[in-house]
Amino acid sequence: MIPLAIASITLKEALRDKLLHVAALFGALLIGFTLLLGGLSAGADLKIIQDFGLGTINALLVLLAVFLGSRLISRDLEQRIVYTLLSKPITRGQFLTGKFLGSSAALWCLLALLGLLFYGLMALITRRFEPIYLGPLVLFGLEAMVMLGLTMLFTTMTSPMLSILYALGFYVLGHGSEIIKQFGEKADPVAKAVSTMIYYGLPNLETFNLKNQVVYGETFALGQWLWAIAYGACLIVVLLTLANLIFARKELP
Amino acid sequence: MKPLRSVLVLLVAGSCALGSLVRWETEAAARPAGLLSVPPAAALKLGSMGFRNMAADALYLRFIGYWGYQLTHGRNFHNLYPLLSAIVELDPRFHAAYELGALALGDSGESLKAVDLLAKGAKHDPTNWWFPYQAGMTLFFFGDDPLLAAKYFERAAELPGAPPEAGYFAARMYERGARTELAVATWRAIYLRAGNPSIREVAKRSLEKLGEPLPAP
Repeated sequence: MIPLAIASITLKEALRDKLLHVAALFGALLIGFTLLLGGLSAGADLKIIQDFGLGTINALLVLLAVFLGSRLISRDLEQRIVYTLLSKPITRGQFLTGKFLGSSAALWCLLALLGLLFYGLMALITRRFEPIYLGPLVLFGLEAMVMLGLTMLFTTMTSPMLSILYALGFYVLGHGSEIIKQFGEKADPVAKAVSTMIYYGLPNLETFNLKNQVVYGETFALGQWLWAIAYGACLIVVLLTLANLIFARKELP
Repeated sequence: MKPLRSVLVLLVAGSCALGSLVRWETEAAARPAGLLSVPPAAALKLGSMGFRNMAADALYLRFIGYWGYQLTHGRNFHNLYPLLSAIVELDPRFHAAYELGALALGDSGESLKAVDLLAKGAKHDPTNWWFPYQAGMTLFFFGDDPLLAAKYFERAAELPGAPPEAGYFAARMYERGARTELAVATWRAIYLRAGNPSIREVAKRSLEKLGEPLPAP
């Protein structure tokens, strides 16, 4: 119950945050802008509208997750809220979990808003409802939660600015781990073993990336989608546990 | 700072900024036309992270702008192939990029590069007749090697769903390349296989024109 109470407060704070408002406005503008891009595309309009629409939602969610995650603990420390809360019978783990859940809820709110806008735009153009986009949209939300957890983990160790940089670095690696594995396969056995370790050690964010295939009307296996959700859920648990372990030993200034 | 002085500073700085922008545009317009830089495909793949389709789209829009501009401003086409190649490396299913790309390359005198581009698509989707068919068409319209065009049409004709005229074009290309024996063999195959009576009739007339007997069914 305690984490849920903290989550509710965090969600209310996040919904009042200008960062979320700017992200929503920017996302809405960008989704509308895809119409213009489509018009310039000489025969690939629908594809470009879908690519840019889904890409915009994905990118904004990840960026918002990183920025929200970087400020979650530091802002409470600055405003001394954390001391008030932790002086009550609330553990640091409950505090972190509550913060994570509240911010995740804010991310899902943004996803719902932008997803609806995207669906509206697509329905306007194609005159039909395509349930296939729900698959990648849900995985966008999950990927954003993983990024939020990752940034929170870094925030327990370092400054907010460095947390953002580390999280974005992991994001690049998380989407490029397949390339690292492919390089390793062509190299000697030691390099191959190292690249395999890196591949499995890093969060593989490509698991959550279905947007490039649904654009071509390519369906995905339900099993693949469910395993991606399971992978994401497990990653979140790992990240939050690590963050909790570090935060529990952290000396608060 | 007093308000009047602030307004003055804003006006001067704003005018200077606008003046610099206008000068920059003049300088930019004076640069040699037709230069288009393209990052390596491997770097693009890594750099685009999970947004490969979006990166391909952005490059495609750049291609459309560049090609359209050059069509009407001197036709200085440079780096078209590396750009198109990068697009299809990022998104191998980008049909419009193959279609317009092959047309742009063929039209700029690089029909073999156009065939290379279509070969990338065929590698990704080997059972799709469109890629060899389009390669044949590109060579027919822009190339000077009818035998190569014939080979692509023949390859297309063998794939499921190919239009019946693919074989017809192959035979015509063999004729144009003075390879009568190959033309005869292709016409005979069309005559025997064609379900459509008008195509059968064309094959019959072509064989008669070449002085060859009709094959026994």
